[in-house]
Amino acid sequence: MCVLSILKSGKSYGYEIMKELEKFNLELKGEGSIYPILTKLKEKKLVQVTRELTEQGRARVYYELNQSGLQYLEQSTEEWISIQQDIQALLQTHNAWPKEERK
Amino acid sequence: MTGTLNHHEQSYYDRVMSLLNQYGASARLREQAGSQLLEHMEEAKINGESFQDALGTPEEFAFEYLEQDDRAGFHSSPYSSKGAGDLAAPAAPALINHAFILFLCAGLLFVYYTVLQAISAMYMTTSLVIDNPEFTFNLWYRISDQPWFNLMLVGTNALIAAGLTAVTFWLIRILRNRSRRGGNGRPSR
Repeated sequence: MCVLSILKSGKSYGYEIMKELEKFNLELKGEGSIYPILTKLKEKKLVQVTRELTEQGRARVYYELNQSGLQYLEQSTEEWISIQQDIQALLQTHNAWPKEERK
Repeated sequence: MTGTLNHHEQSYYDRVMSLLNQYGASARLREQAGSQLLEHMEEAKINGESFQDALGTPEEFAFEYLEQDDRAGFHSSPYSSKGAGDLAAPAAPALINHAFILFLCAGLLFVYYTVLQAISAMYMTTSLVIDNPEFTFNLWYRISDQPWFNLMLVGTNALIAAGLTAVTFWLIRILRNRSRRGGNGRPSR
């Protein structure tokens, strides 16, 4: 979901996506990196994959969100927000929510 | 393609490839993992960073790919209790899988061949009804007293049995892939 949301802003490549995730403290260290996730998205046909040459003449694989990916992202985001709201409600009911954020 | 790698990168690459191979990852997945790994190593080099910072150990990197490929025995995370270092344990699941496939293949081939030979003996030869003391009937290799006809039937039945076995495996594979796809509906990260 996080990777797809990055791709919603435009096409990107593995290393760049990884750096973007790190900006939001979503580091994948110790979890085998971003690449298996990208492969999975490709297998599920949620992204379009293109190979382009860089200025240095190296081939770089770019990932771009397609229509199915966009639908999947919207659906997953809705699910995630719903789950988050349910958990928040539960924590608030049982006084486990941080005090400064409680009403 | 790996010519520009330094010693550390090369050994990491080799270890990942060896693990993927050892645990029976598909050629397509190995190729994909290899090219992505090389791309990451180059990008990390350009940005002056260590490629391994983001990838973890070769075992961790390989594990994520194996889990995706639904290799036998890799459906639960090794991080929960043991750690990915345990990937170095014997490749028992892949071996058992191969042995089972071989056993099933031999069994199917035998059953198909026997049934075809029996049908041929009953409907295409007279060996079961005519009592010929010079002819010794054997369901698997001698069903006709005419050597040329016997050879033709045995050869044809063996080929048909091999074809039927291949078709059966193809159907099993399709059904297995369908059930796998249907069962894995969890959202990705």
